[in-house]
Amino acid sequence: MNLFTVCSDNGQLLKAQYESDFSAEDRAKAEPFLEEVRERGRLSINRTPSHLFNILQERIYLNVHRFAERESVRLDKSVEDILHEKLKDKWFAKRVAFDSHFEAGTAFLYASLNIGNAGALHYGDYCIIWKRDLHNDYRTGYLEGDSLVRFVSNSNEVDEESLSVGCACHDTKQYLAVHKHRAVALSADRSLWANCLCNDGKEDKQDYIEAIFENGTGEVATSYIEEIRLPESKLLEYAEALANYATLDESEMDDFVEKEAPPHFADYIKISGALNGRDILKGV
Amino acid sequence: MLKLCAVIYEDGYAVYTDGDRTFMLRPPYILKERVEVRAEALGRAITLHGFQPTEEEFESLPKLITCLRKRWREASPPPAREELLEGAKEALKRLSAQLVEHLLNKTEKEIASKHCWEKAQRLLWILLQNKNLQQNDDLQTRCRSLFEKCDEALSAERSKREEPIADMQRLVQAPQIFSRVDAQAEACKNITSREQRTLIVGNALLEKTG
Repeated sequence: MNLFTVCSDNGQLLKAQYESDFSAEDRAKAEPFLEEVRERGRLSINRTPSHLFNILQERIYLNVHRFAERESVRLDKSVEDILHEKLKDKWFAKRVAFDSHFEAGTAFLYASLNIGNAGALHYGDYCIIWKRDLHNDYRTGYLEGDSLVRFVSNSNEVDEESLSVGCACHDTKQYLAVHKHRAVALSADRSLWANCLCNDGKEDKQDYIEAIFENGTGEVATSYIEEIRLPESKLLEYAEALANYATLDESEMDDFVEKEAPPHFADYIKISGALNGRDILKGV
Repeated sequence: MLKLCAVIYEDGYAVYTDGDRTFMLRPPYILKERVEVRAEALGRAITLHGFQPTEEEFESLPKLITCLRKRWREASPPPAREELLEGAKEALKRLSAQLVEHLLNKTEKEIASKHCWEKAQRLLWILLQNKNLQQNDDLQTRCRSLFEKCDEALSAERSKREEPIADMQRLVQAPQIFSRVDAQAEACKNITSREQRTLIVGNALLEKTG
């Protein structure tokens, strides 16, 4: 099964559905939301400090299959063993079931559709935003939610029927978003949009629109990173800590790192250095 | 019993369950940083965000936190002081114009309230090397002016500090000066006596010898 063909077909259907289901008045209200998703929609993935630092140092982001292949050589273990260790029973079975169901599935890279916030922060404060240009080199499809939760059954079967009506391609992603978040899309309160589309999945919130991109390699170079977002408050906290640390007397420095600096202060410094002068760390 | 389900030890992040409830936890391990999430968050953490699955049980939250904190420190020890200081200075030189402005505002307030001129000047010296500041005339002017303000305040402080020292030095030298004057007076006295002349100091006729 070709995921991207399914996404493209359903995207056209969602567009037609939008034009028929939404009244002219609602379409006028929803247009700014569609525009926002179309223009500002990017793929994002949150990472913890140490993971981001490794990605920046290696200048490449690997999917779980490529990671397992690399580790299998390094550790002299089978790829399957590494995958098993990395994902454990339940999630290993689900991931393998989903990826092996599609053409080139083991080269899939996963992300979230993001229109301007710092992503799913519980999974890591650093939100990598991939460039818009990425879509020139990678095929991209969007699912209305988490692929493994929504479209893989407990017996590890892919639910093709649900998937085929819950996806869209890059050009039609805004129709998937407007169907999923109809009430918010019709609201003029723009401040709700970004956090509604992509969030932590707390009890009171929807989850996210999953993006899958692929070019056959299972990896993406860090030159495709447009920016790395951090919550503004964290960025200010780190900047103030830098200012304090750099002006302390030597005898006070260790104590400051231990007791006063924000967690992951040293990681922030390492990350800042690993960006090699690229001005891409942004507060949102 | 709490069950630790997924972790990233290098960062101290964790997903654990308490009965049928799922939580995410991270440093500094205060209540604010502990968030209840949907059960599916565990799968998302493992399959999308690089968390390592694990299965460990803990009697209580404090015990779980103690373990996480210990392993976090072991997996990610802080770099050496020199390395960190050098990195911090470099990071300051790369901060965005907006963050530089934030630090200038903060510094301005602090020097007004706490008079911490020396510390402020150390920071401003680093910020003057920031590439975004160097491309922004307003920020550069502001930073220079704050730097000069610190300089003036420090000079004034130095002079103030030096005044009593100068007085002290004068006092210390006084006996030497008096003994020199005494010696000179003695010499004059000898000369006048030898020459049988009158020595007048100021308006006073001190002595007419011979």
